[in-house]
Amino acid sequence: MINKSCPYFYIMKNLLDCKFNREYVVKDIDKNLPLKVRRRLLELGFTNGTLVTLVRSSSLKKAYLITLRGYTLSLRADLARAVIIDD
Amino acid sequence: MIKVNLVGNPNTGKTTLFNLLTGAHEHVGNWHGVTVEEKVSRYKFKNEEIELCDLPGLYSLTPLSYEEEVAADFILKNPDRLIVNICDQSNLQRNLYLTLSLLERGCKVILAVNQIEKRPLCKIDYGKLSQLLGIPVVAINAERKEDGEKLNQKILGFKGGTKYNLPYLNKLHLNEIPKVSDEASDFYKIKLLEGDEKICAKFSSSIAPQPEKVADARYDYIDQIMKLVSGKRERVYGQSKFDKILMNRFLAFPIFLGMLALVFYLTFFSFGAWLSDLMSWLLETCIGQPILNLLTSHLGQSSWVCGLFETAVIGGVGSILSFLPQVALLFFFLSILEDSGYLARVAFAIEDILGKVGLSGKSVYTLLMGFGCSTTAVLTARNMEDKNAKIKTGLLTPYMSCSAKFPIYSVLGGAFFGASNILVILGLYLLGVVVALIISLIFEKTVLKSKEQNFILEFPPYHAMSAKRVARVLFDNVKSFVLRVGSLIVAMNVIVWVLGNFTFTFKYIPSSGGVSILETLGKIFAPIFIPLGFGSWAPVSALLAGLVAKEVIISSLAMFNGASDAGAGAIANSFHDPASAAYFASGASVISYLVFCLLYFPCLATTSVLSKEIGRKWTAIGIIVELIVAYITAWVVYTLARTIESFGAMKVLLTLLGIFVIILSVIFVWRRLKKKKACPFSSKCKKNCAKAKKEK
Repeated sequence: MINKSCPYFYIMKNLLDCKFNREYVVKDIDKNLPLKVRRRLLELGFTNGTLVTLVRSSSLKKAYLITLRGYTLSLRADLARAVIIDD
Repeated sequence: MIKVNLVGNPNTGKTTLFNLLTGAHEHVGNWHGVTVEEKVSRYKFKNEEIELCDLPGLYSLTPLSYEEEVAADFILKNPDRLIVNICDQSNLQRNLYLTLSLLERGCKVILAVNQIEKRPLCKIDYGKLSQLLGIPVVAINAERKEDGEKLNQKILGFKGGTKYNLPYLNKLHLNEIPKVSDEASDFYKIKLLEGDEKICAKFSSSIAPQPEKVADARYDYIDQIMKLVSGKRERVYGQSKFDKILMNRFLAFPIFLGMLALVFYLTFFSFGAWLSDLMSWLLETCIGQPILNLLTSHLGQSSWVCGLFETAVIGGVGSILSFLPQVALLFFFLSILEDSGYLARVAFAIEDILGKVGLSGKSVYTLLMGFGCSTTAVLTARNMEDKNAKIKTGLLTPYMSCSAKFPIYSVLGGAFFGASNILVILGLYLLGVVVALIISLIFEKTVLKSKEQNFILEFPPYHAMSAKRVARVLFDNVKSFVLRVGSLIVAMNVIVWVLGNFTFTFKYIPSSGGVSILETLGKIFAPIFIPLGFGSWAPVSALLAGLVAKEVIISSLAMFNGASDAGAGAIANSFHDPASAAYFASGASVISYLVFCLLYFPCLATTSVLSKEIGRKWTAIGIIVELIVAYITAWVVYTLARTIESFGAMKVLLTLLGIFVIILSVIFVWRRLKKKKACPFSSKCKKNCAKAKKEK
């Protein structure tokens, strides 16, 4: 879905750009996210340097299944998009 | 007395441990947020009284949803209570995050590491862990009696300070933040750094929140600890080979629907119906008949006492009691769904649909529980993060056809449709769900827009239900059902019977004739329902009685028909009596009546819980909406059914298809006309562009 040629869209790679079943390193969380939600993602372990894997998506790609720190978590697509990945 | 709090992440087995220690039977399940409020119980261990408080699960002391707020507030307000921090052995890393925040607060903590699975994911060196954290650590299995005693020993022998050595705090440079309070100063400074809204407002702080810094420091420390205490992990927690099929992008949803269909078929038709028949036969021959014989031999047929027991107690209650096996079976299947861990997968698969109508995948738990009992289901809506989503979920729960409504469909539908009743009942259940989704969409687009829809849900591993749990669930539900029927329903039946069998001058109608109180009252409301096809007094007064509890609808109808036998079959037959045939003129009016029963009003218990949970205003709005929706839907269904009756199904179907095509083409053209210029850069990222433009 993401078109890099679109200048309005930020270029940083996020979790949804990742391929399934491959490990990536978390770099940051989008600062535009409300503080409450950002804090929750951090509490759940999306801190700098954490290894994450995208496991599967729901049928309409609205929710994603992610493993990190040895457990499994499902997130809505807009939250997964806020997790920025180290290239 | 020692006061103890049970604290831990969601779904780590807090309530299981609570039940083990106190001997309570609180509801447990393999899902987040089964416990939504604190529960306190006392017990004795070695002559020492211990007060144990079970709190809802939480991820940290900075709450996001309502239930987490309950827990966090309780911990912060009672800092002196001993805390048993229960952690899941297979998910220790994430669980320790909460432990660290508890230690920062300076709480007295015992770490109880719960190991439920037979084959743990990794080995943990508990001695080392205890040494590193500076708190007692005990490995337990929350289901085993001996481990409960082990934990009790630790609680009695607890001699810990409240000062901990947390080296990572140096990284946060807390000294640079001005002192805010005398007690637990460091803790509050960290909270300010995290940007906790409540605490920031309390100290009117102006520090720029840096939650990343705090979380990084804590997790770095946890990583260090884990390296020292934990062995290599074999698998990821919450993943299973079943998921390949059950969670397949295309299969997940059909599999879920198939499972639901199977549950409904087993409960309401094949196995359940057989059990129910057996039950009603037992009730009739073993209890109903002997009592009746006793009464008539002493009092004679015409006494009102005889009539009271014959119709109100035996007939009315028996008709509902015969559904006991089916209700128990339904709750049994629901608890299997709840316990297995499959529900989280369903929430994930259904998020696509529920997200579109403004709910969250998490709502599926509340809505599914609504098939059992709306009253208890509404409470579970507390685990929603978004307030508006919580209100919506609460309001929609009554649309799920609860187990109390099933007898109405079964008896009335069975009387008029015979074998094809299975389609009618299936249609009613589906109608409830579809109407709920539409209403939710309307709410979402108008007054109750979800602001912070998040859907963050952890996946639990699959679990098989233990035989003990099965027995417990069955026993609890049978007990509460029998108690409910034995108290509220009997009382309601007696009231309805009195109102239905005496005139305003207190003359007993079967012996002296006249018009009953209920008939007079019912006739006032009856004209409203003439367009729906059931405008006579009896069905309408049954609806009025059903405001208190839905079961009363069918027992009242049975009473008005004069059915004295306990069996559901007898009641069904009574609808074909010439005397009562006038109540429902045709199949169409029966269907419309059933639809109205499905949608019209949550029972009193649900209403009171709803007003506590989501406020009076929304409850009132919800009820008004329900009444309107029920009336309109019943009218539409009635009109449709009538047209089908007179013109034949095929013609109506084709006409509807025609109307549908017209509407579709209008919508299509409208959309084309409304379509603005596409994104100048790409046709694919329209939405993102719009968002980015707005931000600029």
